[in-house]
Amino acid sequence: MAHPLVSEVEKLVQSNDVVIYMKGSPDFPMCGFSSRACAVLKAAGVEKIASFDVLSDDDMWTALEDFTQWPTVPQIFVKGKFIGGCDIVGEMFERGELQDLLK
Amino acid sequence: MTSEQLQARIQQLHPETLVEVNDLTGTQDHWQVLVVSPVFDGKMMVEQQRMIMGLLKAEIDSNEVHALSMKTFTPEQYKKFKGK
Repeated sequence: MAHPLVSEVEKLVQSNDVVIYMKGSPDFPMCGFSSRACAVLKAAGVEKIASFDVLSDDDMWTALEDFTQWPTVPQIFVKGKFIGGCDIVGEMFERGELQDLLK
Repeated sequence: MTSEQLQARIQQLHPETLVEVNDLTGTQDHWQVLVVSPVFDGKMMVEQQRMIMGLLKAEIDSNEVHALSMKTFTPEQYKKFKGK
């Protein structure tokens, strides 16, 4: 049985082009990886980043990990699809894959 | 887990998989791996990495593998990457 809050995660990621679940927020990141992921997204030309601070809601954090089956944060979604964490987003940016996805 | 064991485990993805492993700390639990495999064709990077993590689920859960940094490519992507 999926976590009851998974539907909340789905709603947020379906209603925004770029969503990041992170520690803190893009303007006040509370962890190096989260901060770096936001910087990469901005470098790739993303102006509007919808974000959710997992530190503010443990239940949502659990639902997120249940939904993506990915153990760490930050977690980044583009057009409703989970694309990975900080390392993957950085690597995709270097290969130009992130920019293609954002078109 | 030794580098040979890790290499053999990832090789299970596909006979034509290229696997290079690097022990980052000499303690056999912080690994950096390069994996090039035809099974990655058409898959997002996160799916490619999930396939590797799936092969190592027991060692990751038991913390025998503590850190795993992965660079994954399809054969075509790797040619392009090396061609740079």
